[in-house]
Amino acid sequence: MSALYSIENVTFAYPGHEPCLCDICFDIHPGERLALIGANGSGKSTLLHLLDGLYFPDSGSIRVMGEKLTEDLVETPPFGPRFRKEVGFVFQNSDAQLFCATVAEELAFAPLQLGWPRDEIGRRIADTLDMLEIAHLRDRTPQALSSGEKKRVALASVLVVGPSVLLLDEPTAGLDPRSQSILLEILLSLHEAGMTIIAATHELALLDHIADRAIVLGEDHRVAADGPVYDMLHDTDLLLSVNLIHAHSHSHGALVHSHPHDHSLAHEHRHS
Amino acid sequence: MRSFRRGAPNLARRAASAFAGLLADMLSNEKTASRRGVLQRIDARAKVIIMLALIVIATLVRSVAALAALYAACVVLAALSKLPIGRLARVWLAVPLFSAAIVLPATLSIVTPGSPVFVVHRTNPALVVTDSGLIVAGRFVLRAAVCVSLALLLTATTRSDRLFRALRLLGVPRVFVMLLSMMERYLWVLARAAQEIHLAKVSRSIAPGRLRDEQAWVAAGMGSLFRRTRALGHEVYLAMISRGYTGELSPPYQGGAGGGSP
Repeated sequence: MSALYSIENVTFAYPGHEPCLCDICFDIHPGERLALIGANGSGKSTLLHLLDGLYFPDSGSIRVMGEKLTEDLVETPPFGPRFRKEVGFVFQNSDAQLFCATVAEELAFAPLQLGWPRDEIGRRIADTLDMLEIAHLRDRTPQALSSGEKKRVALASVLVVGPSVLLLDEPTAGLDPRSQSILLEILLSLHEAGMTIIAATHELALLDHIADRAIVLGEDHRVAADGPVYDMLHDTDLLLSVNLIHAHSHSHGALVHSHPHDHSLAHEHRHS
Repeated sequence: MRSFRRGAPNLARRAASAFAGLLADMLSNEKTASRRGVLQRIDARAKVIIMLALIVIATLVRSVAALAALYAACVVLAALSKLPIGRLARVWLAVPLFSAAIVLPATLSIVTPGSPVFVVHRTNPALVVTDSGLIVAGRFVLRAAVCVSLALLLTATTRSDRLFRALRLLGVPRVFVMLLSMMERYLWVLARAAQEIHLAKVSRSIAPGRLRDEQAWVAAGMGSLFRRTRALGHEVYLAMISRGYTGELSPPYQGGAGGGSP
């Protein structure tokens, strides 16, 4: 199967700063569930911005849908609108993504920009709201939504145009357990429907719910590992080296000891 | 141990309270707009036209009695629209006081000649308040109060999204309405952020600091808020590009199926 994305030797630095991505290479295939994991500042969010054609590599290349992603290409029809329709990006900060006056207008933004007919837009908005079970939020203002509702509306604002690739930046951050569970179920059903899902996260506890494959970014902003999520989660040395787990002392009743933990609340371990 | 000067104003606490007040006012507008009152039942487009027409009339009319009648009508409309009189009274008291302070010099004989009402200072010539000056000042104060009351009645009885939609339908350029709508949207976000910055400071303050320290802290807080605003603005722009924005705004979505009227 040919790759959906081919990332070759990508290096990127924000103006006036040290590189936050160095020599990144990997392929993404259609229908994959991929997680970009790494400690804070490892460059995973920036990489998502590059995959969405919002930033462009300083060196190296990103090929998507058979074309090399450049600023000119994503701004020019027919590739530009096709790319924006096919690749959806759910930002970490839902407040940045929800900039319209109501939920319905939020969902209408992308189809309107893509020049869809009005009756088609109305139908797609209704279908998407029903699919995410948020039809009751249709006329609400963004400020009247809870964090979980904002995240679902942000997702709906992207799904409304029917993308085949979904980029998510820390999708479960700041959500309560019920909202997390709803979001994970939605992502699972989208994947079962054939969507490619690429999520940046540092929450190891939810990793196997989000992805089958993980790319680990080290603190040196390079790919430290690439493989099945199960293997990554069981490679303690790797996770320690990229600062995704850490060792510290804690107590179990009278027993006080030290061993590696991830940064999430839940963890499993055995005492010998 | 460092001692705190008793009674030094705690700017951080006052600023936090001001931001909380702003959020409460904005939230209150959303609530009052959904009540079943007289003005809430009127179509937003009609309301915008009526209120604008009344504001134009209030700025042109010269009769103090007519302005007073308009002011009384605003009070009655507010009551019939189930608006909280306490909050409105704050505005109704503040606006006349503020406008009176501005127009105070116009009451004096050196600005508005007329028959003396009372003497302010026995100089040569004497500084006196004139009857014409009082009429000019009264007219100005009433005019300001009526205009602000009308604007308040419009915003407190109309949901912001419906107000923006009405403006679009009335031919206001869509870029202008979009900017207005985004300003209103992010005023919420930034007011909340500002409140959090100030509450974080208040939670770590044992006693009011020196005035100079407090002022420096407020300035730093403002700087931090500006930085956040800039970063948020950039992120919003990226979110728009990601969803197909190319620098040209498409005609707005007017609701479609189940969209609701303005």
